[in-house]
Amino acid sequence: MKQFQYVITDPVGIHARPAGLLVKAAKALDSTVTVEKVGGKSSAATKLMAVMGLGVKGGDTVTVTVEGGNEEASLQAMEQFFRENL
Amino acid sequence: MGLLFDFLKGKKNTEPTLSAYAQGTVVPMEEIPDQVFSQGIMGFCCGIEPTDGKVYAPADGTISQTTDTLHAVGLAVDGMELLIHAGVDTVEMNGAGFTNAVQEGQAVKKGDLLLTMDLEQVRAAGHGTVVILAVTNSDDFAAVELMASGKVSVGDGLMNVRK
Repeated sequence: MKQFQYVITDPVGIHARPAGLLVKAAKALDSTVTVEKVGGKSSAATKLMAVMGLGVKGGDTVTVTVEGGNEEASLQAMEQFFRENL
Repeated sequence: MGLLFDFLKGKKNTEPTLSAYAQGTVVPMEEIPDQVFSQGIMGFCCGIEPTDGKVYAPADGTISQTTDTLHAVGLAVDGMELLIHAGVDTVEMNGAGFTNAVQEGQAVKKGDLLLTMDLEQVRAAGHGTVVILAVTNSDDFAAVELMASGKVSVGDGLMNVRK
């Protein structure tokens, strides 16, 4: 299991578009990816409505956890995704 | 479990599962002017280009989420996780021009009002007004198909979803 924390810079947070892109990116990996709003709920990164339901806003911190498969590659892919999209 | 239950009930799902949720013209998924929807990234979806700004429930269900920006509603219907998204990139309007008629956790019936969108205001802000219905977990179903084209009225058969 590997994880990182990320502070959301998109002022609207994880709304429909980035949530959809996140689900697509996470489905492409061979690891199980979980997103947790620090101090809030957590969700599988592949479940669109659950990801949107986290209610992550700009300025919130999320913890992203990857488990199984090629964890190093999955971690890097997710870090890159968050930097580029959120 | 759903499959067994349906089998025991002898349910055939011949009626369209989801009905038209706005008055207007059906827009097939591929023609929605927003790639996250048109490419199926949000799950199988379709749009309705509305003639008025009222958006209704496409089936009986429970409101799974509302948004601060008022332009989108989540609706849980019999294993389907639906997203109803009014307009293109309307998240940028931050709620202006939208009113929300439902609360999270609320049970709704097909045809109940979910939200309203001020079409003039959305157009003036430079956004498209197509109202999108996405079956976000469409991968979990055997088949999801659009049943309607052209002009529809609220409650007309629209989409069929089979387990």
